[in-house]
Amino acid sequence: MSKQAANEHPHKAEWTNYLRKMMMIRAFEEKIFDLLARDVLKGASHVYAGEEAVGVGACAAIGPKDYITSTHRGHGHCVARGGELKFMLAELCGKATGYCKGKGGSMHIADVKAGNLGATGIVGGNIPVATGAGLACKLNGKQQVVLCFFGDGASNTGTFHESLNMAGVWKLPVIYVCENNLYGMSVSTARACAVQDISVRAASYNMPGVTIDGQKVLEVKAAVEKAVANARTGGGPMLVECKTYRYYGHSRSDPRNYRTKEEEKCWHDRDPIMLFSQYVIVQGALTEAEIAALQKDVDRELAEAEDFALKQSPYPDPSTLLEDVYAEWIEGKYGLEPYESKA
Amino acid sequence: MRITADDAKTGKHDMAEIHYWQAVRDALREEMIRDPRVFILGEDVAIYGGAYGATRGLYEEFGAERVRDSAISEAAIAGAAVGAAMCGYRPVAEIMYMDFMTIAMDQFCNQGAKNRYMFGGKTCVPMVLRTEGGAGRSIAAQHSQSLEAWFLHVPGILIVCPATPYDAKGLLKAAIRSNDPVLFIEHKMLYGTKGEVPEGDYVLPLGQAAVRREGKQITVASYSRMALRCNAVCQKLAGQGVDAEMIDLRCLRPLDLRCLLQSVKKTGRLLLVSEGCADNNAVNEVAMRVMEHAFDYLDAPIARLCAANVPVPMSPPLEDAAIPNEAAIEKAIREILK
Amino acid sequence: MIQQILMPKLGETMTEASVEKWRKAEGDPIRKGDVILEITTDKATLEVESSIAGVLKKILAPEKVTLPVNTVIALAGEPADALPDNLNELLAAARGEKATEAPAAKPASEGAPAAAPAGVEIEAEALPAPSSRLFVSPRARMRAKEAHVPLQILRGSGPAGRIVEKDVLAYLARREQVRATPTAIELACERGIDLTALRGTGPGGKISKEDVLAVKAAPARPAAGRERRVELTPMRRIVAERMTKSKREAPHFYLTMEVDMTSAAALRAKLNADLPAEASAKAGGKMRVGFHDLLIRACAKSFGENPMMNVAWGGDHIRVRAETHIGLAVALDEGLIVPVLRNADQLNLAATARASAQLIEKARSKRLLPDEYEGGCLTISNLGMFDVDNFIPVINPGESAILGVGRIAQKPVVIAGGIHVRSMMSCTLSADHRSVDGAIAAKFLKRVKELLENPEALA
Repeated sequence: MSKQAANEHPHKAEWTNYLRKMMMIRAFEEKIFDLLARDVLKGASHVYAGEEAVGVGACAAIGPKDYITSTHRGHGHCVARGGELKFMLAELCGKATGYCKGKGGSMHIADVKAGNLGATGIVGGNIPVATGAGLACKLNGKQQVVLCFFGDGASNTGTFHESLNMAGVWKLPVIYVCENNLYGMSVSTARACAVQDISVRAASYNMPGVTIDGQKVLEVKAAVEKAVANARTGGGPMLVECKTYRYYGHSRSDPRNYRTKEEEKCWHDRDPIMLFSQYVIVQGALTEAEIAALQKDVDRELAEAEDFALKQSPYPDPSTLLEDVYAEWIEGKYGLEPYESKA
Repeated sequence: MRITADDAKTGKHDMAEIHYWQAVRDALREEMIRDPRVFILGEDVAIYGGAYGATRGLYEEFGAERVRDSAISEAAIAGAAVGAAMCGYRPVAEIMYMDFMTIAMDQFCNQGAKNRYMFGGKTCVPMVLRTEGGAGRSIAAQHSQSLEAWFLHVPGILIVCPATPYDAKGLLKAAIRSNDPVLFIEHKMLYGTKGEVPEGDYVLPLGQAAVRREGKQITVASYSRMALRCNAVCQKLAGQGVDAEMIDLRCLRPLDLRCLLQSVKKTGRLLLVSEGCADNNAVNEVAMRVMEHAFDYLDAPIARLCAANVPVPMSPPLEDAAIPNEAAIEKAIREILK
Repeated sequence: MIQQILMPKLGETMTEASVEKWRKAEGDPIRKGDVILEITTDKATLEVESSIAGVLKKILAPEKVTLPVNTVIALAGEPADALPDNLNELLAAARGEKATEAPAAKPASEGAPAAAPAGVEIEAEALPAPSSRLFVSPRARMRAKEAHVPLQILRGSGPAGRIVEKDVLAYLARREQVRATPTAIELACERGIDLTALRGTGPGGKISKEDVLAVKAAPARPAAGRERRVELTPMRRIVAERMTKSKREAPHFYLTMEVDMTSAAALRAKLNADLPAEASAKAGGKMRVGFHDLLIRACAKSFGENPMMNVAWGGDHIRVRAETHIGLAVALDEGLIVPVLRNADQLNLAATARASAQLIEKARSKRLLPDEYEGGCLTISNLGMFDVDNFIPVINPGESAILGVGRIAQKPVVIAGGIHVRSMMSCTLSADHRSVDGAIAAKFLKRVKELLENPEALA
C-alpha cells in the first residue's frame, strides 16, 4: 500500500469520496425511479439525478458542526451530508427503521444530529428555517454556517425574499445555494423568473451572488468554500447559483413534454459523473478500473440497502401513530396528557 | 418554584399590582435572565418596546443581539424562530396582530408544528409565537380577529390565551420553558388591565384551567377577555340568586377537560363564551368533548355565545354589537336556567 | 286491458273500511283466488281475494286510510297495459281526499297528508306526533334511573315540557314521605306506577310489592301535561254513530229485575266440576259453562215462548224474525264488539258454551266473519266483572232490546218470611217502544228470570 501511496494523487481520497457520493446518489435515484414504476414505493419522490455535483460539491465545503436545510428534491443533499442509503431507502418505504421512523418519507428526510435540518415539501418552506439556523449560529459565536438549498422556483416565493433580506440585514452566516435546474415543475425559468440569473437577486439584499456551472463538482465546491469562508468570518450571507439540470421529470408522473429532446441531450452530454470521472482520469487520480470498482461497490451498497429496506425492515406499529407530535404531551382519554405526571 | 392560585390568594408571597403588558414583559425578562438561549424577534419589539409595550425596556437591558427588530416579514420571523429553535435556542417571536398570522402560517403550521413528528421525534421546536387579537379598538376587520380556532385544527401547536396579568406571566414562562411550539395569544384590550402578581419566579402549568367562582347551577366557561366579562356577570348574578360556576380555560390546548367535566357533572348546564365568530368556533371542540364524556349529566343542551359571523366592523357601536357583551352573557345564562 | 280492483263490501252493514295490509306488490302477478290484501272494517280484519287474473299494475289506496265501499283501490291488467288518464283522480280518491273539501273545514292532524292537488304526490310533513314521546334531559334520565322513578308519571317543567332533573328531585321529595319497600319502589318503576298515589296495606300504610301488583295497568297518560288527540279507529267511529242513532231514534224504556242466581250458580259449578280450568275447544271436548251461556239459553228459550219480542222496527212495519240469534257484548282494548251466536234456540247448554267460547276467541283476535256479528235479535251485556250492580244499556240498532246484567252478590233476601243469604243479580232490559210494549217486555224478562231461577230446564 505504501508503495501506491507515493504515486497517489494528493486529492485521490477526496475525489474518490466525491465520485463515490455522486455515484451513490445516481444509483439511489435510479433505484427510486424503478421502485416507483413498479409501485413498490408509495407516495411522491422527486429525483435528484443530474444535479449530483451541486449537492456533493456544496456539502464538501462545510464541516460536521455546520447545518444544511433541504428540499423536496433532497435525497442528494442527504447523501452528500453523510446519509446512509439503507436508512434513506427505509424512510422512503415508510419503514420504522427509516431516518424519520417512517413518518416523513421522501420529502421530509432529516438527520438533525448530523446537521441536516430536514427537507420540506413546501417550495421555499425551509429558507426562513435556514435563516433562523443562521441566526442561531451567529448567536453561538462559533463560526458555524448554514447551507440553504433551494431551487429556481423557490427564488420567486415570498419566503425567499423575506429571508434573504433578513440575512442581509442581520449579516447571518447562511449560504443560499440555488439549484437552478431551469424549470419549476413544467414552467421554465424563462417564463417564470423576471431575471434569468438568480444570482442577480443577491444585490437586492446587499449580499454577493455568483452563478456557476453546477455540473462541475469542484467548481461548486470552490464557490461554496469562498462563501463559507466569508460567512465564518462574519462577512454575512451569500447567494451561490448553480446552473444544473434534472434528468427525470418533476415527479414520476411527469411526461416532460415541456422540454425538448435536444435540450435534454445537451445536458446528458454534460453528465456531472461522467465529467468528473473523465476529469479524475485525466488528472491521474483514478483509473478506469478503479472507477468501475467504485461503481460496483456502490451497487453492492445499494443492493444491501434495498434488502434492508424492503425485506428486513418492518412497518411502524400503528401504536406509534400518536407519538412525537409533542415533546411533552401525548393524546390521552380527555385530550392532551403530559408524558409524565407532574407532582 | 410553582405557585398555585391558592398561594397567590393566601398572600403567601409578596404581591404587586401590575399591568398585563408588564406581566408579559416581566416574564420575558425573567426568562431571558434565567436562560441565555431565550431571545426575542419581531417587528418594533426592540427600540419601540412593542406595539403594546410588551417588550418595553428589554432592548435596553439585553441589547440588539437578543432583542431583534425585524423587517415586516411575518414568514421570515416565524420561520427563523423555527430554525433557531431546532438549533437549540428558545426564540420568542412576535406577530404584532393575530390577523397577520396568515402570512406566517406556512412556517408556523407546516414547518414548526410538524417538524418534530415528520422527523421521527428526532428534533423539537421549543419556540413561542406571541401575538394578540380581539376587537375593541375600532381598527376593523384586519386588525381585530380572534383566530385561535384555526390553530386548534393543527396538531403540534399548544395554544394559550391568558386573561389576567397573573395568568399571562405564569403561562408565558411555562410556554418559554416548554419544548413544544406554543401560540401565546394576548388580547389588545387587556394590556392595560391590572392585576395582582406575585413577585419572584412562578410558573403556571399548561393545561390547567382556573375556577374563578364556584357554583352549582350552571358552568360558564370562557377564555381571554370574554372570561373577564363572564366572571363579572357571574359575580353580579350571584347577588340575584343565580349560582354560576365560572371557569377560565386559560389554554385551548392542552384543554383542562377534567376541570370542565367535574364542573358539568355538578351543575348539569354549560355555557361557552368566545370572541371568535360562531362558525366553527374553538368552543365547538370544547362542547363536543364535554358532550362525549358527560352526556348523561347534561340537564340542558350545551350552549355557546360567540361573535357574529361578520368581519369585525369599525364603527364602535357595531363593533360592540358584534362580540358578546355582559348583557348577552347574562341573557344566555338565564335562558339556559329556564 | 286495465281492470279496477274495488274496496269490497263484505257484510250487510259495511259501508267503509281501510286497507290493513297489501299482500301483493306492484308488478306481482295475481291469479283468481289469490289473497291480494287485507281490509279492516269496524268489526274485523278480513282477507280479500282477487276475482281477476293478471298483474297488479298500480296500488292506489294506502294502508290505514278509511275509504267507502267501491272505491277503486288498485289497478290490474297485462304488463303492457298503460295506466289510465284519470290516474291522479283515482289516486286522490283512494287517499280519501274529497275534491271539494276546503282545508280549513277539516282540522289538519299532524302527520296526515294535506289535501293534494291533482297529480302531485306529497309526503306528510314529518312533525313529531305530540304526546307519545317523553322528552327528558340526560341528567334527569340518569337520576330517575338511579332512584327508580318512572319517567312517564312526571310532568316536565323544562322548555317544551322537557323533564329535567328538578322534576325528578321534586318527585323524589314527595316519595320520601311515602313509606315503601325497595321491591315496591322497583316494581312501581317498572310498571309506571306513581307510589305517591297509592295507599299501602302494610303497617302504618307501608306500600309493599303486593300493593303495587294489585294496581291494574294504567292507560298511557298524556306526557308533559299536554292535551292530545287520538285518531278514531273504524270501530270507534262506528260505535259512536250507531249508539247516537240508537238513542236518537229508538224510544228506550227500561225494566229492572232482581234474579236469584243461587241455583244457576250451583248448576254451573256442578257442570264445570269435572272440567279442567281451560278445556280446549279444539279437542271437541266440553267447554266450561259461563254465566253468559246460562243467560243466552234463558233468553233464547224466552224468545221461543214470546215470539213478539223477537222483532225489529221496520219504519213502516214490524219485522218478526224467524230465527233466534243472540249477541254477546265483548270488550276489547279498542272498544266493543258483539259476536252473535246463531240459532241459540237450537243449542243446548253444552253446545252454547262451545259456540260462545269460539265466538269470544274470534272476537278477541278480530277474526269474526260478517255473519258472526250481524243479525242478532238481542244483545246481552255483562258488566258484573267490574262490580257494576246494575246499568241501563243502549239498544243495538236493528234490535229491539238489550239485556244489561250486573254482578252476582250475596244479599239478604226475604223468602217465606225468613231472611236468607242468596246470590242475587240485578238486570235491566232496555226495549224499543216502537216495536215492543211494556207488557211483552215484562213477560219476556219474567220468563228469563224464572228460567234462571230454575235452571235445570236450561241444560
